[in-house]
Amino acid sequence: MSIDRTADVKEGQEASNRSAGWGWEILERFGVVFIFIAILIYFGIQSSTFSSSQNFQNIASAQSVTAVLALALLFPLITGNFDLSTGSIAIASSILVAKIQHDHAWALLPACLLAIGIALLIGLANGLVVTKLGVNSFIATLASSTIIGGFIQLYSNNETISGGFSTKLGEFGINTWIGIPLLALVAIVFSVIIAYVQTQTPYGRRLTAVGSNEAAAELVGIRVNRLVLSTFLISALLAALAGIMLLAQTNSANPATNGISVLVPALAAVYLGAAVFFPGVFNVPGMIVGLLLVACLVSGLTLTGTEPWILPVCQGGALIIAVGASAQFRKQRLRAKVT
Amino acid sequence: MTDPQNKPAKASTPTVEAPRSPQANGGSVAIDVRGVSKAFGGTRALDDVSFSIQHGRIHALLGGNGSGKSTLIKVMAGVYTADEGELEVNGNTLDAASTTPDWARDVGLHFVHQSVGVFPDLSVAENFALGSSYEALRPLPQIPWRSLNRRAEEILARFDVEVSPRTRMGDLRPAMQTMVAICRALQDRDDEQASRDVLVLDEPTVALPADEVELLLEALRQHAARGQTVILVTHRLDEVLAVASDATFLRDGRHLETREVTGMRREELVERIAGIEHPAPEHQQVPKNTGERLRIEHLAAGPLKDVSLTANGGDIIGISGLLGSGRSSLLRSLFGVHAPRAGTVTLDGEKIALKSPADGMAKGIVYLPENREAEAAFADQPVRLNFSISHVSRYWKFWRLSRGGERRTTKEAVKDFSVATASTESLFSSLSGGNQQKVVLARWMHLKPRLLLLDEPTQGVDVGARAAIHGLIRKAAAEGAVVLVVSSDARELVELCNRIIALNSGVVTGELTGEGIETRRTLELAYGADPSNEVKEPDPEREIQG
Repeated sequence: MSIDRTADVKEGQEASNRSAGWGWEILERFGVVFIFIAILIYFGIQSSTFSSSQNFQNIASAQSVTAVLALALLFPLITGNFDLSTGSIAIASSILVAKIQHDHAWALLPACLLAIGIALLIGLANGLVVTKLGVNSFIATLASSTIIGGFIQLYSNNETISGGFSTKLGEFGINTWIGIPLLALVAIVFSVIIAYVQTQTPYGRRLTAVGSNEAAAELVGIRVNRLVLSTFLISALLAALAGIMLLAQTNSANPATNGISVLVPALAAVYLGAAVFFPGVFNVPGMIVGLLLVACLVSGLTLTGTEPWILPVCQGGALIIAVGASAQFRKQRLRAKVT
Repeated sequence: MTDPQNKPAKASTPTVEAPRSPQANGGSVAIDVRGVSKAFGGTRALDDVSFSIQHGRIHALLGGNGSGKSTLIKVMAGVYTADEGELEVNGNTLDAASTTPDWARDVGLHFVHQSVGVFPDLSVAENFALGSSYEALRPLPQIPWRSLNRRAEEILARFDVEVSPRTRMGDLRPAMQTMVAICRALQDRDDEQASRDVLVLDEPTVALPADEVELLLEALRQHAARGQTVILVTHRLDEVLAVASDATFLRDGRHLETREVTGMRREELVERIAGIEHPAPEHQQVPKNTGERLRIEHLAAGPLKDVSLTANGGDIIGISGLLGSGRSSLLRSLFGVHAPRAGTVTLDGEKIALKSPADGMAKGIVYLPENREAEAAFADQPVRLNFSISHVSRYWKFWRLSRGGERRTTKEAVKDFSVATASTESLFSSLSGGNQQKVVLARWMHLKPRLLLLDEPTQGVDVGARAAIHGLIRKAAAEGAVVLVVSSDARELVELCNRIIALNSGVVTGELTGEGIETRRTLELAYGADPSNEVKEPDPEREIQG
């Protein structure tokens, strides 16, 4: 995020928020950050394990996968479309990469390329169903997610693959660079790329326009269908990469993992992100704060001896709060002060 | 519509709280606005506004964009609360700082907005039921269809609206929908109450095609004849002259004058709204002849059957026609929104076949759609994005979007087009209608188009902004562009165009040029029939809008 951009948004805030005080504005833009810091301090006092560097490394490498999944959701969401198939695509690609090496002795790289290629085909299908058939993206990708789940069962025979594939991935999953897990570095690189495309390119600007008013976007020369299709391709690509990262992190591919349950924390992160820094706007830095907030909350609760059922409750709750908050911010933005 | 034998019976049961008969209401005060002020941040939207409205009159609330009339309506409706002042409605006084929607309904204020808020897929009776406190509408065990329909029938009969309660709302013509919405607003009041109530109509005709407007105005006259008080907010001055008995003028948030309208001339209204002497329309400009640029041959698309025309650079050509005449299809197919069935379009000697708006823009064609909110506005985005979206790639420099450059260009455009906005970062939705329209025009003019397609360029825009927009259109033409303007306001076409082409049922039925351009003949052409039947008021001063 360049300084230029921040100045931009600040000026806009001032213009559109004349009646609200600066205190409120700070709370609005950084409220989630304050909550995050409060969680860090609270669990830091409660549990010495929580504030250990080992725990933060664990959180970072586990959240890297979720972060890339969240990035996958971002572009479709900006244009007003859901891609619920990303979770299933990730799991499918982790199984495919593991099993094709295990069964047919493929090398790692071609296995990954095949997984990415299949993911792109799924993304293309999603995009065509949404743009050409006009099916609501929520329904279309829920359906494709279910279909993928079926094929995962067929291909894997419901067996977990925890060996017989390249060990390079597993090594990559545990190695660090100056204390930062390599997986986290990968997630950071993708975050920077996505944030750059969103805020610094005409492509990103067009996504925003389509999300704001599709009909008007078409009439200012944006090829809306093509653009929306491209977001599904990007989303599928990132989902496949997230799947490979998942394989690296857990060193096994488990077909019992549910695509939707993988998706929920990512979705919560994207929406929480829309309640930070630039309220009402999906943004990458906010998304990362949202992601870490939920992760630290869950880790803190687990380490202080809370029962495991609390985890999905927290994630689901975070999703509702996040969506609610970003809807509120959007409403506030739109509350026109016209005569 | 009016059938003398079908007049509703006077309410025979006297109501408890009505001391006065409807007749006695004439001349009494329906609404008294006292010292109402409202500020948004540093802007005073309403500044100590005081006036009163008499019972049984059609009272026009007039003012330019930003004059405060919408704010005042919203304070009355309880959408906003004022900072200071008092409101008295039918003898009920309330601090204007504590108005609520419930209060407004209880004292008898009923609002019908621009987009009338009907459910097009439901029947008329269902639409009534959804807006009612009618006790029969319980969620369980089942909807009492029969009594619902009977009740709707009674209400419609009471207001002389000849519609079956079972008709699907979306199948009604637009003016009828508005009339049904008005009935819906008044449905829970008996005749006694209704006659004391105030009906507030916020630009009720803005979405109506010209031939529907007269229908609605006639219905308003009937409501007034029944003793109903009507507050009419509109930009169409001919409507004011046609139906209003009084008018209140607001300017820059202040009350200017409340007076009788009868006997006023259009120019006098304009003068009060705009605050300047209205300049004589500079119509029939002789265009700088730059030779033929546009040639359309036998174009067919949508309702458009066969249209041929040629235009020189500098031509501003008005397209006159009723809804369904193909006027919007003509513009949309020229822009590439939908491909024509047949025919050729030649621009500067090059045959063009467009598949999408993007293709149209690549050829130097731009299109201003009729419905700004739905098809041109990025409401939740800043003015900057709304302006720059037509040419955003131009700011792509050194692998990033040059926001500095973008902001500078936007600032210049805001200045050139005199857009009233706090900053280039203000949200588009915070601008008034006229200023929004200027931003959308600026978006297109910046591309230096060869062909401008403008659909209702000044709809819902006040007199001052309208003159400014006309100036901008003339400027583009003077620079050599071809301009096609669709407008249902015949006067606008006369002021703006050097040629007017009439479309009727998809074919060109006539053309006016030079000295032949006048409002009345434009209307006659558009209606395409014997003018004495179609144009209701032949007096040129009181001509209805086409």
